[in-house]
Amino acid sequence: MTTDTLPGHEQQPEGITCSSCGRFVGPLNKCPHCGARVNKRLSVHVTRYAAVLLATAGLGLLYLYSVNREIPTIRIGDIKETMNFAYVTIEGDVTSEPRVFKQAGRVRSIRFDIDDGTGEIPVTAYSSQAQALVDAGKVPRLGDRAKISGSLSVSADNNVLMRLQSPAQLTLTEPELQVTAIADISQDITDPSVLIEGVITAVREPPANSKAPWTIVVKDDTGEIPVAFWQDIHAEIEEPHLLEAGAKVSVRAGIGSYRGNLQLRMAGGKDIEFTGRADIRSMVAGPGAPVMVAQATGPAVSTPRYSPPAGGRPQTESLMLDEVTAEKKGSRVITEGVVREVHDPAAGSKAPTRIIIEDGGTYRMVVYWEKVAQQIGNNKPQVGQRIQVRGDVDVYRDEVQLKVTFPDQITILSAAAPVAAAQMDVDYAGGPADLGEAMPAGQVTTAMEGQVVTVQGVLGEPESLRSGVVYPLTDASGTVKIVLWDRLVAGSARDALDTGITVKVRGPVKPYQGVAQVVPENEQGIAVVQE
Amino acid sequence: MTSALLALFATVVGTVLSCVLSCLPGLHVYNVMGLLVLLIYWLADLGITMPAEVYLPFMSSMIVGWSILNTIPSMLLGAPDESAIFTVLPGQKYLMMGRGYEGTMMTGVGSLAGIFILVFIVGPLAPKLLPVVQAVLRGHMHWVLWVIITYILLSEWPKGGNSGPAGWRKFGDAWRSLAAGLFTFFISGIMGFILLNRSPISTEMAFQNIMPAFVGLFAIPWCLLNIISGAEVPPQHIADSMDVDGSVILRSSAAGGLGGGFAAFFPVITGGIGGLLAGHATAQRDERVFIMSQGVSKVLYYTGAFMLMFVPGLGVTRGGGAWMIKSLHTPVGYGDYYLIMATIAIAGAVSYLIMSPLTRGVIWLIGRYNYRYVSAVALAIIVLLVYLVTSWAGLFIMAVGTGIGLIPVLFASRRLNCLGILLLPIACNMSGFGHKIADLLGLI
Repeated sequence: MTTDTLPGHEQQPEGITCSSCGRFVGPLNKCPHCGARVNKRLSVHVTRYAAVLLATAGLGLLYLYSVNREIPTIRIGDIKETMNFAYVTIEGDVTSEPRVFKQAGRVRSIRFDIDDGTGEIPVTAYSSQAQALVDAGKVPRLGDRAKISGSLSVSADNNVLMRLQSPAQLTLTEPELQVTAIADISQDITDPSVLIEGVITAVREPPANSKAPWTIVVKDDTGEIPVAFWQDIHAEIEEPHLLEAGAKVSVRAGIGSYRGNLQLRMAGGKDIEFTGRADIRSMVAGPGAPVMVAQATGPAVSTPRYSPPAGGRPQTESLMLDEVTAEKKGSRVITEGVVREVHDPAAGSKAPTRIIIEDGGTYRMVVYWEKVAQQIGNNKPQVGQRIQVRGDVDVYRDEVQLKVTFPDQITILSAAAPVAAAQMDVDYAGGPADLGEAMPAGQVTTAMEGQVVTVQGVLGEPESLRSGVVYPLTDASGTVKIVLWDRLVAGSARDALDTGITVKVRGPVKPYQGVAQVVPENEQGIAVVQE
Repeated sequence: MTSALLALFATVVGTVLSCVLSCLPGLHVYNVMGLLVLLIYWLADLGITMPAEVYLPFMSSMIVGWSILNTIPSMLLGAPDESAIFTVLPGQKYLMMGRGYEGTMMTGVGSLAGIFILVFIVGPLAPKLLPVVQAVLRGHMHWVLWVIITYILLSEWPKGGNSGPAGWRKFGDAWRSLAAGLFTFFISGIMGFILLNRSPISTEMAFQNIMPAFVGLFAIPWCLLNIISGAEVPPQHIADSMDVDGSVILRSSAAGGLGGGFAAFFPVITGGIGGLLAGHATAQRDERVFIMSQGVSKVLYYTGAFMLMFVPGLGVTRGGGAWMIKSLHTPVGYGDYYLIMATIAIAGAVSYLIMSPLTRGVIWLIGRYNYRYVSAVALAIIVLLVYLVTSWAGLFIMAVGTGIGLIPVLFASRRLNCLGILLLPIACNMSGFGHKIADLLGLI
């Protein structure tokens, strides 16, 4: 049998001639001569669209995979350098009063610290996210429980920061606070904030054009205490006209100190609630020496000083080391022991410093984190020294440990101790006079690099840095920048500063971008002269 | 003195290692640096601390060496990274004319010029000038980024629709590559939003979140094309001279310096975009200038961006290499700056001296063996690296990236569009509404 094809048909490329009659059909799928179907090769061009389809489907699957995957929750102590850019969730307590940085009326950034028990890191929200937090009334308060999802920024020297990417990813839970009697308030209270109820006995309004804070004095049956807050917080108070002597209030505030005296600090306008009125003249004087102040405004009214009351509720239990057991978890105790081992964390680790103490054959571990370690500095307990520890009992991996959150909670008792840690003070123990004589700020130049200088002046608008804050300090001779790094100056010290107050600062001169800056090496290098 | 000798030794070793890396088509120096960073962390966990005087010059010399020597596979094996995309066309022309060696050495001269610019012009001026420039531009970065995105998208030209009767068919033919380019940009952008907000990569390896996507978008498609393409490389002539003069070098330095410098300084902008902008801005028609300027641009982009991290008083981090080093080391003062400048100068000189014998070696290799095998080996190494660092999740991202990266190759649109993976989400974030889009996509 022979096929009837045209001459040369065999040499023609397949697909352009009819496989039946052999005639030329070009790109047609059906032969116009005999009607037979013409087999075509698969065009490469078609496969291009397959690639597009594949890429789109792959992206869709990647999307589904990602959105159905929980954002991983991690512990701060587990953060490693390789976690830079990781999008994670952290749950912890807000341990510093959030700072809102504004410029030209717009919120530029918000910054606060969060501690989950394994470590502490700063959290920052920038520009639109920060503004959205303010607009939504979601600025955290000291002591709030926060669940935050954001992007980690981890750089060398253990420099960790979390960036909040969306206001929706910040969930705040207010702690259920019990009312604390004013007489019971002391630095020993471990809660970051307290709730007090009482009557306002004095209101100190800052002078016009001053950026000094407002101060009210709240009194209950056990004593009285000043409560300070900044002017922007005053603007947030819903009924500011009620802020007068005789008003019954419920106040939530953080515990701080000013010039050695206890002081409460309110972090938001919603932290004060007006519950009625009382006649303060009829109140029985409490042990805190009542101060009768009518509508007290202006500089003529002085802030009553808080006197520690006698007979306050004991906060700390004194125990032998073997009495510090798991049953005491959550309580604060004072105990003693001899240092047997000191374990510093590895470089870059978020793990705590661990000190093993021993007393009468009982061993317990004392732990503290980087911030405390920095404040303790060279006064770290040494092996063989006897120390007294005031700490919170906790159980970690079935082991009882004492958590120390301030350096003055460790006191070196042995005679060989170089410097008693108890002498240290995280707050402003030193007065302005201790910082030496101030030089004119305008005369601090880059040529003085490395020299330790003291300057005194009024703080200007702060500027947020990645790991700190910069204040311009101005005196009659000019302005110099003061840089407060997080790792050097404790949050409580930074929080006490604000625009308009006069401070004295001591620290080495460090040039940056051709401009001289004074960088205090710790909070002892800063003293508030006048608010 | 011991530190200086140690640094010198690390520089030479790093440069020699970059020779090997640069000859493997598609293998990026940042992929290997990621592995080295992990190695340093691992050693630290074992209690062995590697001094900065070792890893800083070692890694920076790897970047310098790779940015210069990677021209060899770009020119001879047709497997460039995205920043060398513009070298390919004139470069392939040189290759097909048997002038691949000459073209490679011309790009090398451009790279050497780039090193001179960095060491003798940028180096002394940067600490004084760049902080001021940064302070001025800081508030304007977002709209500059949008202008560049617009420019990239609008400057793509139709590759078809030139003949035939008017109508939808012709319209579609003209728009095919343009639409593919736009599609690639936006689909890459969505991928970027996913990876920046909800990356499937383990948090332990989050610093390499984007790496598998970049490998998929840029490296894998080229390796695949090299393996399946049937092009034969003609015999190459080893020339003793180059068709360049002072004028060509100056014009190349100006064009490449402008593009590479711009890319190095602006966030997210890469050398490829810098090269595109510089090429258009200077309207150079001479292909010698074109080839040489890509050498300048590439060195300024990779090495310059890395160098910026060490400029005293500047405080910016640009490029994947700098981001990786940042987790290991915080630059302090002029000491680190001088160390990096010294490394750049020495590694640049060594790399250029190595370039000629290395090019001859690669030419001998591709004359003797089918270079498809080299591409296959490189592909295997890249996939292995991705798996080692980011595991199966990384391979999945790489596969999706490969699908997207093949679109511009198959539709003859610009591969630069794949950079939508960073350009789109970061431009949105810098403009303050990135989180709203991520929210809209259900990512946060």
